Amino acid sequence: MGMSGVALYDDYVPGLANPAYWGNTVYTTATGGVYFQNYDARDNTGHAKNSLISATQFQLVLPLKRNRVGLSLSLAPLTRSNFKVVEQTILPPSLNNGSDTLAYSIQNQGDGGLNRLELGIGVRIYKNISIGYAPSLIYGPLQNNLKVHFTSFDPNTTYNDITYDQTTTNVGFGNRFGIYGTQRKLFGKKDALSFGASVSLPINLKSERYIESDRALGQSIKTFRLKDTGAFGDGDIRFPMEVLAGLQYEFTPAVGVGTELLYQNWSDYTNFSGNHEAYMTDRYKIALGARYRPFMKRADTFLSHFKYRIGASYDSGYLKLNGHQIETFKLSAGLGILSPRNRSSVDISLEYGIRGTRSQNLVKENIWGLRLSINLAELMFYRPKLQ
Amino acid sequence: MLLLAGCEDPGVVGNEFVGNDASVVIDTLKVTDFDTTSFQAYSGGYSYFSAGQYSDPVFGDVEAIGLIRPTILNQVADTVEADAKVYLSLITDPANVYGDTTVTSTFDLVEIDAPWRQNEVKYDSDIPLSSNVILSDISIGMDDSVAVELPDSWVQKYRDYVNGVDSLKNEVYKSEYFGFALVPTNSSKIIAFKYAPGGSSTRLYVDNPADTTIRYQVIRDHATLVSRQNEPALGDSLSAFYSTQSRVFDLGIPISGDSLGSQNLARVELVLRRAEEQMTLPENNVRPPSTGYNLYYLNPDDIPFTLYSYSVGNAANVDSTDFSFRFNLTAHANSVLFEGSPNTRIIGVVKNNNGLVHSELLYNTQAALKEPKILLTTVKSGNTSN
Repeated sequence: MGMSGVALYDDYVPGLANPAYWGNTVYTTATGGVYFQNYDARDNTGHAKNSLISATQFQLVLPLKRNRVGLSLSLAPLTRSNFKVVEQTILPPSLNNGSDTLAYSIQNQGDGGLNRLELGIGVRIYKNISIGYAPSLIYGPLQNNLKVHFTSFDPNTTYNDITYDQTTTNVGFGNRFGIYGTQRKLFGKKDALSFGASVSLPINLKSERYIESDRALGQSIKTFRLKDTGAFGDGDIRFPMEVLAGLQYEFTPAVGVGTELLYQNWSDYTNFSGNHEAYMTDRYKIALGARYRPFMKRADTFLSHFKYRIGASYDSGYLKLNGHQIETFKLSAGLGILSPRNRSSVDISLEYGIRGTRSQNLVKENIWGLRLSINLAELMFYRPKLQ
Repeated sequence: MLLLAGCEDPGVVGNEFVGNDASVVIDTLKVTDFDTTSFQAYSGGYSYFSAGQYSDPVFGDVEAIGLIRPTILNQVADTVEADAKVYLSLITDPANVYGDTTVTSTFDLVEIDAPWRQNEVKYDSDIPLSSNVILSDISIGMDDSVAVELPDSWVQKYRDYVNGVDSLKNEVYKSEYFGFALVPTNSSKIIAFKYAPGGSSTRLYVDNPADTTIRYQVIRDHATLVSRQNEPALGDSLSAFYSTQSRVFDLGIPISGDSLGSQNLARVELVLRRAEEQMTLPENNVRPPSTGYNLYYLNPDDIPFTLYSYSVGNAANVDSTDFSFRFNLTAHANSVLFEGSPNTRIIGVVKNNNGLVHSELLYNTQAALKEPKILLTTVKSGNTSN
């Protein structure tokens, strides 16, 4: 629905947005999936396309005590970086101090990101109130590959191409807290209003950065770890706090709408060198969504074997470049295919978004996304009273 | 700029924002460690030997004496008859004349008074000459060859060696006869004489009257002695260098691996500028065309005899537009940075040491704007301290 689902508890699909609602767990649930995205980026001088495929979270939620205490184990990407920038420059002799024109291209390609390995617990402390806590290990490398290729117009002047790989490894610990409450029969016999909120505390990452590069020495090529007096070695990165809150109103168990608000104070972010980046700005994201689950009406039509979702979101982004927030508008629609035997499902969602602006020679992207997840829901470790 | 981007938010964590992550930087560094030193280079056995005298208004009075010792063992002239005539055929290279092309050079042919071998002679070696002048007033203009008939007194002496007992004659010849020197007797020009085994080369030829064929006798040893006097005072900003290696430059390249940028060396170029406008000569006066410089490592333990064993692998010819010599020192710099090469000093020699007398005039560290420079093309990262 374009939402994280902080106030949206689903008995049959595990969620990561709020540790509290694991306390409501009845079924053993698990999920995993992949996410495919296609980017069409344009600025005032050109355009480019890029495609990404990545794994979404893998999560297992166990009801330690059904509908009272739930345990979640998950591995999920926290951040993702994947880019390629190619910049070409031509320098006339007057600017390169040479006897002829020098052309070069710089290709900066990066990928990687932080992952969160999390073990959390949710407890229903009152009949309609749950709380949760999830400590986690945050880790992951970020890798940059830089290639600089030179072309000299003077055949007697040769340049060595430069290639190096920069790796930044990170490790830290995260803490998330959540609360979830629901009030049934608020306006009718079948309706329910749910509230959820979670807070992720700032994460202090211990990082190490190094650069390796190949050098041609004589007839051989050797890999060296380059030295630098200031910018490499150990560093501390501060990942900002995140607050997420939402409301979900279910007209009936089958039909619901929801909204949520995300806040991340990126003004608190510090990079590897301990500096705040001037282009970082606090991020707000608001999302609206609706879902329809006809199977909850126990209907037996063809359409009742599916579940439906639709949503929209506005994201202010965390970057402010040349005076412009890099905003994202996104629409999404999803379809869940239910298992005929249980409440397991295969969910497919399609997204379309617009990010950025072409003002000030910035980049505007059209984003298409396809998300596929498999959700398993079973009553496990359950001893029937009648055999 | 072509941008390909796909950032899953918030991808910037742990990294700086993409796009300005690296840049190519071209720095110009002045070379401050630039000095002049001298070597005693070998002068024999090359493809040329020189003889003549010239008063160069820039580089001083230069005298070159050519040393020649013919063999007696060549199969094509194993006999010299009593009435034979023997000629010294001098093959010259007018393209490498050094001096006044309008004046005829004159030489005496003087016997050498001490043993010498071409592989041991240096340009400044002390090779004594006898008082026995074989032939006087040998005149050479701008012709590409001259043949002079050697006097009968010399022919008879030579004949005795050639016609001696086969098993002994060569040893006797080597121990008793040391050849002759082509000694200039006027200041006009220095002539380049060619030596090419098996080809068109300076050599003797023997004309036996009973023989219808001219028999040749090749040169066994040849070398050049060079002396230079009365060098004019050059300005503080100028330094002279010679292919005879009596003056070469010695420089240290400041290579520091303290920062990433200084380790990502795309090109390290040494730029020297010839003082072309200071090297003018009077009309009809010429110097051998410049062939540039060779660079060598200076190994203090081996000076000066193995200089050629430690080539930096780099040479440069003059750029005809700005009269610069540009040397690519990237491999040298990487070797120092990443292999800890001890060869941090570099010797620059006017090339080639081939028996000719080449001279060059460079702007040194005292010259404004045209002083020796290092052009550093490096790749610096936005993440680095430099």
